Amino acid sequence: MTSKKESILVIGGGISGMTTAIEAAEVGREVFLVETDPYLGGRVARMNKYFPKLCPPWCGLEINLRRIRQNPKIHVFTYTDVTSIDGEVGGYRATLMERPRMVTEACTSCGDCTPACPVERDDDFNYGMARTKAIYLPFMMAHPQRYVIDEAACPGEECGKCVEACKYEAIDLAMKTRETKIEVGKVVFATGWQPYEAEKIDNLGFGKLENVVTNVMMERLAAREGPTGGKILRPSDGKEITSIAFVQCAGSRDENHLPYCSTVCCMASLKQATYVREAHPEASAEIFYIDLRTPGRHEDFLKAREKDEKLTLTKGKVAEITEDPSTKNLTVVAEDVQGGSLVRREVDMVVLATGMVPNGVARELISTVETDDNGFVASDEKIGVIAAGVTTGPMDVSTSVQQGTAAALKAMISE
Amino acid sequence: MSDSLTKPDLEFVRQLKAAGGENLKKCFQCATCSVVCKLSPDERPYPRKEMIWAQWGQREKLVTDPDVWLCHQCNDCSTYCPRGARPGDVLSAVRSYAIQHYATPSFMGKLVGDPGYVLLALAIPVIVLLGANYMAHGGLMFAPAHGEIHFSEFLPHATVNVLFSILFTLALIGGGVGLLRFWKDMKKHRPGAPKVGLIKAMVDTFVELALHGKFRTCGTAKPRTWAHLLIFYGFAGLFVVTGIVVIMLILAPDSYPINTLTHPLKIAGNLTGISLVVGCTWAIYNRLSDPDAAGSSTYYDWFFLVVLLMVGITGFGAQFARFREMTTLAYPVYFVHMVFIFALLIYLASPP
Amino acid sequence: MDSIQGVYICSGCGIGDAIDLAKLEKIANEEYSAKVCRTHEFLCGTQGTEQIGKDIEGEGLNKVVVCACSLRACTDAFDFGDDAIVERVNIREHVAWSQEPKHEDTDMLAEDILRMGMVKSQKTEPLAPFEIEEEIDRTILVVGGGLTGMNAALYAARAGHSVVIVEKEDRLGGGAGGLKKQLPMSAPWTDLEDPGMDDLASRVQGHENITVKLSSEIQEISGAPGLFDMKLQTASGEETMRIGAIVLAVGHRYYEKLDHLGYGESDRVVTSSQFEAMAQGGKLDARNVVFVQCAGSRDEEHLPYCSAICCLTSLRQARYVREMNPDATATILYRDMRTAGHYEQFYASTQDDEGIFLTKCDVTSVKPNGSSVVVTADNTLLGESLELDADLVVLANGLVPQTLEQEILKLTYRLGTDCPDTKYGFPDSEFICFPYETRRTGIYAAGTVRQPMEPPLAREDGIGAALKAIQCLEITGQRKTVHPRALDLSFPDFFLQRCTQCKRCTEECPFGALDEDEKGTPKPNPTRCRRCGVCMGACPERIVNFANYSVDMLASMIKACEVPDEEEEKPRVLAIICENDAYPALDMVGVNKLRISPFVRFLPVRCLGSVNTVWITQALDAGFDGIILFGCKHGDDYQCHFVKGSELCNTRMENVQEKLTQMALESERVQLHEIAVNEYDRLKELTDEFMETIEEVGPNPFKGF
Repeated sequence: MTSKKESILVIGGGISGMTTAIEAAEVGREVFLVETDPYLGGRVARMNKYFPKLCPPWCGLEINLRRIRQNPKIHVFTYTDVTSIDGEVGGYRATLMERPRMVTEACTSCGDCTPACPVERDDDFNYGMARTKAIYLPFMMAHPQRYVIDEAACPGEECGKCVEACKYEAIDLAMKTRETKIEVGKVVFATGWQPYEAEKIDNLGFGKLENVVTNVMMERLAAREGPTGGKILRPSDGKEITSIAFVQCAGSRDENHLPYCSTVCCMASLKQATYVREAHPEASAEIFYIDLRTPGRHEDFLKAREKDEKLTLTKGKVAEITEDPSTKNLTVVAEDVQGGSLVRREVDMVVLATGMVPNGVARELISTVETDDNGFVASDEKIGVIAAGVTTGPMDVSTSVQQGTAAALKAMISE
Repeated sequence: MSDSLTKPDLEFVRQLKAAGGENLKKCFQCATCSVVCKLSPDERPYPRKEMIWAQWGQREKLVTDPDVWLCHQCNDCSTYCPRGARPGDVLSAVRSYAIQHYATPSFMGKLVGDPGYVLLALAIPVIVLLGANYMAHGGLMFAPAHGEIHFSEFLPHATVNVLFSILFTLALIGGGVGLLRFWKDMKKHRPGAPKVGLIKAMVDTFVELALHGKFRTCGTAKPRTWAHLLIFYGFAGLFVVTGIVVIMLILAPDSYPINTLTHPLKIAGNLTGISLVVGCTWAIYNRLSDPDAAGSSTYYDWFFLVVLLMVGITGFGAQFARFREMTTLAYPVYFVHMVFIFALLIYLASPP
Repeated sequence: MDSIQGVYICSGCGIGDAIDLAKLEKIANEEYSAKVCRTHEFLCGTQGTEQIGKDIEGEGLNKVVVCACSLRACTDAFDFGDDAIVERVNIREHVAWSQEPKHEDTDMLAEDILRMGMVKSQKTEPLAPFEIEEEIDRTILVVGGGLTGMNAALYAARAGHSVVIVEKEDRLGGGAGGLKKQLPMSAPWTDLEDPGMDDLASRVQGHENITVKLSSEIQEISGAPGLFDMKLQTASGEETMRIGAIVLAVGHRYYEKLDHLGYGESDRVVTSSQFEAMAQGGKLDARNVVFVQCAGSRDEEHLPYCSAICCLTSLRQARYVREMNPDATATILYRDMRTAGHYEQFYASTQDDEGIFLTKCDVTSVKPNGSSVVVTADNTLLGESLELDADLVVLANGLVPQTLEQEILKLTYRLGTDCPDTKYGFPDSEFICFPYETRRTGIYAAGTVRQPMEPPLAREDGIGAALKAIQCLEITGQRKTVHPRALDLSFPDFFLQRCTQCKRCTEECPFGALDEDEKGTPKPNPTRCRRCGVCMGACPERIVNFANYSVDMLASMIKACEVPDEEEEKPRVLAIICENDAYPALDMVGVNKLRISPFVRFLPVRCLGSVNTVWITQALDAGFDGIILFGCKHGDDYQCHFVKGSELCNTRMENVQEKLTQMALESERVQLHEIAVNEYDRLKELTDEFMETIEEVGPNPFKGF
């Protein structure tokens, strides 16, 4: 048993935070892993495949969950927010507030409750492109394997149909927020990111034009377990797409939005173009970019994609998207920089390669944490505050894991 | 010469930055500008190519580029530019540079385009007009003693007519020569452009000026359309009215209704004058209150706007003083009025 | 160990509605003489688990068989510590949720998997740690004293470990140490910084836990994690040291085969590093400098990959040009400007300099011409060609890992002297989720030797690798293994008296854990071992076994299944599934209530690499009509957690298929498929197709013999 001084609070249960927690715990440290969603995995749980191997994120996630399940040193809190942190390095006191998920540890995830539930909600796991019942399992491999009730959607005790359906008395509609106070020596912020609000890019029509989606939505559309069963169907009419355009730097590298490069979007769009080409071999895809950024060995992935005759790579940023009101087809306009003329392409669907915005909670919890103009946090080892993953800057999964691992060592040093 | 890049010219980059394109180096060639510009054609769109030329200091390509003159500086490009490079300002700086480049004689360009020459630009008309006054009266004479005010007593109509006709002709020649030089250079340096003849191009330009049709399509600039139209019609109206008055004064000096405000010519003159003053004031207000939307204002723009406003204000001032028989005020104001008209003609002599 | 088994059957979650549980009880009691057998309607609830606890104590159970849900669920509830060995039999996802309720075939499936679980439980022996004679050494060796290595060393030392840095140069600093200025390392990411390497080096040299060996090269490293012996050639002679784990941070060198870009023809054409040295001098005799990007990189005839830092290097050096002479110009000819993440802001601020000129293009030639150089390019930002006269051309040349065609660690491993590398020589991990997996336990690569990366990432990478090294020693000290079977105490036991020195195990071990003596007998190194069982699968003599996972155990599980006679028209198929990916996928078949054939008996394995071909023979002998194997993807983009397991199994099965043909059996009876963890629907489809194939080829002719 490590002392409180040596224990670590990791805020954020995505790939970075899970990594920090596991790596530190496997060295023997006590770790509190706190996640605001009702499941671990964060953004990567919602991805279809990783570039460049096109392997499913659930594969590594499964290994990591096994490591967590088997390791008694890791204390997992899901559906939980850290509401306050005080004290100093070596002696931080944190308050954890577990929101009422209305379903207790007795849940066996048998699923008998869902047919009984009369109300539906937008499925945020699928970025609103599907519906679930008010009592739901976030996704089929969710950890903990335990249902949750969306308080906003559930009519409450007056309904109680799920309570009747549950044979294990696992539903408690009167459940209250549960407070836990912990003492730790160090705090790791691995609070991740959210996609840039594409509505703010007014010339690209997201939110107004039905068939303009974002890259994170595309991950769900391509997922075999996603809302369309892996077929890439456009939102307006469910038609299988025959043509698609990817708009790079939708918000990134743009001083009106995000001045930094979000690092992953070029590879993500090249990857998503393969989703389209695999699911619909007749469909054509075009990626409009400013610079293609496929560093290191990712260049191989770009070269392989360039061989695909139905994938076109055009240098020139899309700055206008219009819709044909009768067909809901979209026309994207860009200057083909090397061709020297404007191109107007009519396509079935447009994917905006939106960038990453850090979730900025570090500053709110520990006021001495330094945040840059864009909300990214740098570790401050003197005060025992470590940042990992996209909290420190835009990066891909592998780099997040690497940073999460480094964060574990930083959080273990006490001088 | 093709579009292609040649040896970078740091000096020219510095000149363009100084002329109002200070952010030009920030461009990373994404071509958002060419797309959001409502006026840009599909083939050889602008201003993205102008931006790389500007970044590389490609002087010859820019001064002979007809596309910079298609820009109405509505600044949609600058609003959407992800890098803050403000292409609209850069094109404006290019135009400003080109004006000086083609001004005939070349010091004319400096006179109206360089803040260092502002005193000279105003001193020339002052000296010329004072000289004319001196010659007409055998000495300087500002305020005749008797009651009714006749500006012809300050400078006889004939003197004014001859002086300003010469000036106007010089302006036409200067402007015309500049324009022809530009046209020749453009033909030499850019095969394929121009696509239409010089006359057709001028007619098209006039029609666009009269209707401001393209300007209206620009998103960022919409609020500015009306100010622009008021200035244009005020300016054109005054030009026409003045022309008629001059002809009347020459052909039938007595028929000019000097002392009534109800004569159609006076009404037209005053209405267009109001239009000019309001338009200029509005435009100056726009430039000061929302400099980003209006784009950078070169000294050349400011010179034009302020001189034009002053022509309007002093015109009204002179008329007011004359009707109120404020002799000590009327003649000096009239003098100032003449100075600004003179300056305006110098300005008009400069653009290609 | 004599088994005293308790069997606990859960009837909850629809299990009781689908399966005749009384029959299961009967099997437990009658066929396997369970000490206790209970059915509970909510076994994972407090009552259920307390009952099991009570029985362990009261009835003296040492084995508990939990017949309920997937082993991926309720892990904590069914953990009874060292008191009893728990075996999970998944009759929820794998039976009740994926079969027709109350059907004879469903019951038969549940019965067979209970039998398999009972046998497995009986044959599971308690785990004891492997024995080694010496103490685990906790010293960390950092090879390479650059930015990455020094950070690794400093952090490991600060965490209390003793560290040895071996650096071949006579000073610390590495590549970053030779820079005039460093890229910005923190917000606002716009201005160049002092590299600060001297300061870092003095902190390293001053740390009490760190020993620095300059001008030193490794002569040999033998042994295994915790027990490495390093022979070191230092300036003052040869030394030997005991080392625990290794961080490989030897960085990169620059690619210089650049004749095609005029390199070597004139002193006016230089590389980035040569230019850096010129700039160090502080004076530049060139007024217009042209930087040619991707010199060697992104080029199939040179380095096919992108070297990731050259765009930033040239932007940095363009600033030198401008700082040294305000009237000089720097022109950067790039293909794509790659300034990822925060460095976009460095690009923006550098670009804003009036004397820095940039265009995308493809450089076609660099021709020295007297005192100047002519550079030509196509496809500029205006789609046209370009010709420039330069006083000086800087080739932004790419980087190659120091490990390429160069022995660094000089390991005495049977499988090679260094970490296995990727196709361009980077000893990188092929796992996205596990970037520190280098296939040599206890050796972790970091920094630009692992992959091209920017300096802040290299710094973090060194720290991450240091953590992995510390962790390896911590876990090895407990005699357990590291990722992916982290903290597993089991280990392969080699019964060497029966070894025939066929060397299959030593060749096939993905982690190089096995050395050989002169005769070819394997010499296990338990601290290198990752417990995948590839050696167990490889051994034709079946002499490699774990206490809780053995050839005999799985063979017995296969034999425990009841195979009906041909007349009953109930075919039997054995499905061997990888427990990492195929098992969860099969769980998802149940979660999604898909129907899968009731004639398939699923047998989870640690990795397909551990599948011994004897199991196939025994399954056919037992009357199974076919064998289907589900493993992870192999080949270039392999997903096998043990790197080669699935691929090795594929080779073995190809041999099996050949043998089947020789025996006049249809080779289609044995098939291996790659399946990803999320491909649950495909798992069902492939199984259905396989059942059709078996239907077509007919029953196994050996059935009933």
